[in-house]
Amino acid sequence: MSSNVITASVRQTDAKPWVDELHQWLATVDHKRLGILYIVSALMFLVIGGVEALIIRIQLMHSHNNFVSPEVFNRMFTMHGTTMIFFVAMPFLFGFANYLVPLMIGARDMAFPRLNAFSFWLSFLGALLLYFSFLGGSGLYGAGNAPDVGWWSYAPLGARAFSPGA
Amino acid sequence: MARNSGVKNGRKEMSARRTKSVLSRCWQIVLLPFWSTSALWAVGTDGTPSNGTNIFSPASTPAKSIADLSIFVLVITGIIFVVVFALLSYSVVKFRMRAIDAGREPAQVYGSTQIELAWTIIPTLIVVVLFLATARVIHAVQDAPEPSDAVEVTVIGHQYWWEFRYPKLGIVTANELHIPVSNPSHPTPTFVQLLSADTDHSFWVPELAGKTDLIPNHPNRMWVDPQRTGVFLGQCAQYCGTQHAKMLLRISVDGPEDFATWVRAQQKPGVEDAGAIAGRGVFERNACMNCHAVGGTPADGRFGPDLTHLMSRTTIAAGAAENTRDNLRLWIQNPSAIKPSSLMPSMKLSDTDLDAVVSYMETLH
Repeated sequence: MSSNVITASVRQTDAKPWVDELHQWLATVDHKRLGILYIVSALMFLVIGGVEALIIRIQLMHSHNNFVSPEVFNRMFTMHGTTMIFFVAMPFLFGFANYLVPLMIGARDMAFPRLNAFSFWLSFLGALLLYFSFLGGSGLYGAGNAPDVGWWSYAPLGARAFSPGA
Repeated sequence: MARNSGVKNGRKEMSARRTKSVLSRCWQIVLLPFWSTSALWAVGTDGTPSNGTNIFSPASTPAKSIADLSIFVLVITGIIFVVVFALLSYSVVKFRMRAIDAGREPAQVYGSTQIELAWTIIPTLIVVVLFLATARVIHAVQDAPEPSDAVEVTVIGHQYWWEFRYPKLGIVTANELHIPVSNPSHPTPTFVQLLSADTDHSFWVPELAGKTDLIPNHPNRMWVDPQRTGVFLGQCAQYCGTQHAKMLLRISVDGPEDFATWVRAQQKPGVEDAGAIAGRGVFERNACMNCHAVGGTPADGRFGPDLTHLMSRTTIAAGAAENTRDNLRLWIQNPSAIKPSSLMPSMKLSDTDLDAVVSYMETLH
C-alpha cells in the first residue's frame, strides 16, 4: 500500500471467512434473505419431488413393469404429492411474500423478524423429518418407513388400523 | 384529451361487450333444450364410440346428466376464454409502446362505474347460471326416488375385491355385476347401496354414473339405469392400499331374459360334481372354507369372495387376470404372483392338491 493517498481503515468486507458468510445466512432475520432461503429450499425439494415423479413415470412406462415394487411405488406418489405441495409450492409462495411484501408496503422488515426466521427453519426441519422416514424399515427399529397412503392419507387407510407403525 | 378518449373508448367497449354477452346468453338459452332433450337418448348414445370407459359415451341417466353439464360448462367457459383472450390480445397489440411514445405516460384512465358494474354483474350471473345447472343435476342424481320394482344391489368394498349381494333375490357374488337393461319409457333402474368392510373405496363405472365412495360405517346410495346392453368396465376410484389399481369392476347389462337366466343360475347352490370330490376335500381341509363360501357346502367364509359360481365370471381377482385354468392355478398357488399384496395367503399346496382344487373350482358354474 505504498501510495500517498490516505486510505481509511482496511476494508473488512474484502476477505471474509466463509464461516462468517455461512453464519450470516444461517442466523439472518432479514426478510429478503429469508425469502431467498425459502426459495432455495423450495428449489431443492423441487428436484427431489421431481425425481420421485420420474420414478413414477418410469414405472408406468410399460405395463407389468417392475422398476420399483408396489410398496415403493406407493411411497413415491405419496411423497411426491406431499413434497410438491408443502415443501415446494407453499415455500415458493412464502419466499416471494417474505421478499416482496415488506418492500411493497414500505416497511423496514416483517414484524417479528426472529419469529420469521424461526418459521423458516422449523419448516425446513419438518421437511427433513419427513424425509428421515425413508431411513426406516429394517434399519432403524420403530422408525417405520416413508408414508405410502397417498398425500391425503384418508382415514381409515392412513389410520393405525391399516397402517401400523406409520 | 387523453382522459376523454379513455372514457369514450370505455363506453363503446362496454356496450360492445354487453351486446356480445347478451348474444352469447341468447345462444345458450336456445341451445339448452338440446342438451337436455331425450331425443338424443332414444338413439342410445350421443354418437361417440364406447371403448369401455369413455365418459363421453354415457349409457345411463346419471352419466348423461353429468356429461351434458360438463359440455354446458365447457361451452360457457370456452366463450369466456375467447372473449377474454380476444380483449387481451387486442389491448396488448393496440396499446403497445411505440417509438413515438418514448418519454410519455399512457392515458391515465381512473375507473368507469359502468364497466366495473358490467364486469361484476355479468360474471355473477354466469356463476348463478352454472350453480343452478349444477344443483339441478346433483339433485336429480342424488335424490332420485327409488321405484318399487328397482333391482337392489348391496356393494361391499373389500381390500381388494367387490362383494355384490342382491338381498331381494338371495344372490351373493363378487367382482362382476349383472343388471337388467332399462328402457327409457319404462325404466327399470338398479339402486345400489354402498358399504365398506375396511377402508375407503369408490365405485366408478364411467359410462354409467359418477363416482360414489364406499366409506366404512357410512352407507351411500347411488343408482344407474343403463340404456344399452353390454359390458361396462369400471374401477375402484379411491386409493385403498397397494392393490387399489387391480380392483376392477365389470358390469354386464343384460336384456330381461338374459338377466332372468343369470339370476336363476346364481340362485342355485354350488354344482355337486362327483369327479371333484378330491378337490373339494382339499378345499375344506386347507382352511379355504374359512374365507370363501360355496353354496350348498359347509364352506361359508365371508372374508373372501363367494365362489359358488366362480366359472360364471370372466375374470378372477377383481379383474386382475382372466378366468382361465392356468391363471386360476397360479392364483391359488401364489396369489402374490398376480396381486402382490392381496390378502389371500398362499397355502403352499402340493401339485396334486393344487390340481385337484383347480379342477373343483372349474366345476363351480
